[in-house]
Amino acid sequence: MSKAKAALGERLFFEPRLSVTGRYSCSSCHDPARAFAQARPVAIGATGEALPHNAMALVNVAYNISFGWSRPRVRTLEAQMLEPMLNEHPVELGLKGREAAACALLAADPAYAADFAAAFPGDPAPVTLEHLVKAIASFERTLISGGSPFDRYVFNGEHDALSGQAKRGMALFFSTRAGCSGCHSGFNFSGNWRDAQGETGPASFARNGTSARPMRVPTLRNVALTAPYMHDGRLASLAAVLDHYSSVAAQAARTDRRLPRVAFSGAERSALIAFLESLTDESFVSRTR
Amino acid sequence: MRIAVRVLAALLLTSGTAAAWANGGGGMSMPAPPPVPREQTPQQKAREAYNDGVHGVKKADKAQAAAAQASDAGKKDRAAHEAQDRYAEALAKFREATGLDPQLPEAWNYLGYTSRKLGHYDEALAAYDKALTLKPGYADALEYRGEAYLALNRIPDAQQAYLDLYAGNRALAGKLLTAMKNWVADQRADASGGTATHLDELDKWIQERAQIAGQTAALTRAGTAASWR
Repeated sequence: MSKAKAALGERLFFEPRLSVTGRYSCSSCHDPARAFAQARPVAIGATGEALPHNAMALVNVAYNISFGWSRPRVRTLEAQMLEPMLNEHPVELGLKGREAAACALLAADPAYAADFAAAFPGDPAPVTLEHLVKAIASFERTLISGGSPFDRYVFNGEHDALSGQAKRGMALFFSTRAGCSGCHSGFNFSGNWRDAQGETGPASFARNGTSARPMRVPTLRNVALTAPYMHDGRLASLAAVLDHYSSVAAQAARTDRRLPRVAFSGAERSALIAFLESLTDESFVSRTR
Repeated sequence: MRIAVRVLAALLLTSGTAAAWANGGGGMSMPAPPPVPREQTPQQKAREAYNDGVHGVKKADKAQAAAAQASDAGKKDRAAHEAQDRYAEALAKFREATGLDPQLPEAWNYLGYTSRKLGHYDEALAAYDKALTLKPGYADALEYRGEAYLALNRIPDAQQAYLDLYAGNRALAGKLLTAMKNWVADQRADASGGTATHLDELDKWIQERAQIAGQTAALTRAGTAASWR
């Protein structure tokens, strides 16, 4: 990590010349205004192909143990990034087979040439796919969100930062009755994480009644901005998500022991939504480009 | 065979005849020179003083606990005096340690602790500040400093100390919150304590912090690991 690398990565994240059509970039699916998620149910690649999954929000990803919705073995941002760049079925950015051409294009751009040289000093030919990936990963590691009303309430001691309704929702969220924090634990509300002290446990995946396979527990930070929800974007609103979990609670056999045990009342649903909305970090989503 | 030779050599080296052996043996054996003590560095001396001080603090804390528990007035008084004496002895050790090695944050922290126990709050705060300068985020020093603020009725500073601790060390934050609860109880019991309104406000703050801490246990490392076990 270096400032030069992260700055270069930020430029590249928004760079459409990295796609096969010249009109698509990482930010096409990871919109900063939506906490780097997307308003579509599933992402659409540069050539118009639908991807199997919803574009995940990029929030505090530096602490993730693994990446992507369904595969715990993808354990670095760099490894994850090769998928959207090089995938062919379906095409995402469509860089496969054009890696050298894309690098040559960037190397011919004096501003990029200077930025790569600054980010990777001492390398006589710094514009490579490997460096490009490392730079974008560095930028993604700077996407830190911790300034929501919830954070101000819990960590800064601003006891008026949450409304009474949001506080009631918070109490319910963390209760064993609702069970939300059984999966959405940890400072990022996404289960286990890793930091300088190591990993708190294996990457957190759960069956929540939307797929036969366990899916990643996504972060809930900025969740009010990241609709639609679930791995395939099947649920349009937070209310629909809570309805889903209410229906799961009514099932005789829950797919995961952590899932809610009771259906939520209308008041409880409103309180939970107010709490989830308190996880929006305006300073994070208003960061300029 | 080789093992036997080694055992023999070891015996010779430890039996005081090594010098004679080295000199070729015979009747002109000379006594082995006494070992020359190596000069300790200031850092080593500081560490030694620090360890002595910590040992003294343990005894002082024990005496203080005995004083708190004693029902007999005489016993209480004797234990309290013993605690003060031992804190004073430990304080001297920590002053020695910090004088020898001013870069030892643990010694500054205990210098603050013993000073506070003896009622020297200004010295205590200065020592905690020094410890925290040397070791930013040092949780023990943050907690002790929070208790010093309480003793000085600096409530907003004590509240901030709690919040500083909360993010990184929930256990010590909980300890400071308990100290704050006790402080409120003591103030209420003391006719010359703070105004009822201020105490009520602080009491409410403490209750809300305790509730937040209880609710958000799932956000900690231990809480997360437990939920995914």
